[in-house]
Amino acid sequence: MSNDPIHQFQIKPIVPLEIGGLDVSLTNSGLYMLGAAAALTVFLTMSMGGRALVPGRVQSVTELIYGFIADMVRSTAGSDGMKFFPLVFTLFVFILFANMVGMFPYAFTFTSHIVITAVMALLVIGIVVFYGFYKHGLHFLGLFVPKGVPWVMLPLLVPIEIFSFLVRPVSLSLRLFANVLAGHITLKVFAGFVATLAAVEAWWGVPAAGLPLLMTVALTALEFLVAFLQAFVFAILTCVYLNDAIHPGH
Amino acid sequence: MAETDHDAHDATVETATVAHGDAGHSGSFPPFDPTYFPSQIFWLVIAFGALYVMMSRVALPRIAGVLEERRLRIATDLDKAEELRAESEAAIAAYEAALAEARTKALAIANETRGRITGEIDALKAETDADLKLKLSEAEASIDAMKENALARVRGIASEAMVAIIEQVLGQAVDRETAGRYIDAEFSARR
Amino acid sequence: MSDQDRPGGGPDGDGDRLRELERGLRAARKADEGNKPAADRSGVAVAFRLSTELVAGAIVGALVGYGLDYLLGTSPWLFILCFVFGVAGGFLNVARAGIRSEKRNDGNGR
Repeated sequence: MSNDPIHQFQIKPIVPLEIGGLDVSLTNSGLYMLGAAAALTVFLTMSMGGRALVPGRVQSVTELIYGFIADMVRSTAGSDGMKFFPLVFTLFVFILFANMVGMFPYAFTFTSHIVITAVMALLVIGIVVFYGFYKHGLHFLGLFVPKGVPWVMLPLLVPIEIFSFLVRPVSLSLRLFANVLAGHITLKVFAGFVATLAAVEAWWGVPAAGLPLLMTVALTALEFLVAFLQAFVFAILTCVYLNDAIHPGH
Repeated sequence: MAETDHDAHDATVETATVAHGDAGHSGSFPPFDPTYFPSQIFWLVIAFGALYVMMSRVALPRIAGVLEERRLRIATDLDKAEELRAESEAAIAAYEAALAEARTKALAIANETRGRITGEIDALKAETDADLKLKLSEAEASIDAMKENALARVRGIASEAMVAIIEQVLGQAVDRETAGRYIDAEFSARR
Repeated sequence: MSDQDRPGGGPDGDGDRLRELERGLRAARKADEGNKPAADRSGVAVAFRLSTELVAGAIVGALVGYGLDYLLGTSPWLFILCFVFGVAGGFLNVARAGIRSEKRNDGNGR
């Protein structure tokens, strides 16, 4: 493997496949996605296998995540929002797992690809729009008319509200993508410094490599935090946007 | 992450283009490379869809079931404990009531007994008093009788002695009756 | 657990222990009802999400404006207008996030 910081995002086809003229080959990215789905299914199902009333350590983790997300959905989108709990839960564990697996050296991080995050964000916004119109009909458009504002202000505020809504899928996908991408590149660059400095054939080469090494360690810790936070932010924003679809009045 | 490639070169974010031998690779920044967009979306839909189905159909109901079971179990256990606590409290109350009742009963019995015994003692005392009084008066009467008797005998002896003394001293016979009268008079004066 | 092994046993001591039990039970029930792990409402998470909101607003505004200009031939006016609206919309999202997190810190639910 080269020391190129971009290399880690490279997609490589594994099983060539074409449907309707589109190249849908199973790639390393697709493999990681399937792996994440399989591993999460096995873990989250098997950890509850004992159905123990007093949970073991693994079962506790599962219950903790469950309670964490359930509380998030309930406090952000109300108890009506609990029908979307499986969606939020799936999004959270899927992103979290992808980010965490991506922290391992040589692993592929599919959340570092904008298509992936964009599809997930569009799924969320699509559900918000669909459910909003389904539940409230045209009243859902009231979301764009702020309440208690003088009507002269409306020509200015309604476009801003519309844009603020349009921005959501973009910011939702961009945030996750950009954070993961930037984190991985930075980490790789600093790790590259370590290698470069350590390879310098001078007496100060190896000691000088210590500084970027320290940085790399610190960044790795930070990236673990970011990996969790980004999954958390994606999930809680999903709840916030769903709340708009459930209760359109601000 | 920790690469130890010796011919590593300073890599920066700007060196985005990489020469790679991979087929179908356009050489642009991979996350923006549209070559694999269809494949990415395709497999994401499959993986995410499958995961969603597994979560919503299998995993989440299972977790919810266990949590609900535990919640119910804790609630029933707490109810049971509460019930038992109330029961023991009731038992203590009953015990205390019984204790109080016994105490009052005992007090009543004691009072009654005391009253009864006091009455008995009083009656016995009165009887004894009456008995004593009777005996006293009897004794007084017998003493009086004995005194009378003794006095009578003293008068007889005194009058005989008087007669004898007068006869001896004066040589003159004295009637016993007269002497008795003197003695009586003398006695009466002394008394 | 007989009363003989502690001084001051007997019914009164039992009453104390019962009261203690009652307190314990009440606490356990309260703990059970409040047994929902609270989500981490750290400000860090909010701060993290603010960063992209403005960038995304600018991108969306620029794209929509460019598209409308292209369709209506009004270049560059709608581009400028939509760019401004886009940034403002992004800013609105930031402001909402701030308000929401403040409300949450007040403990008023959503």
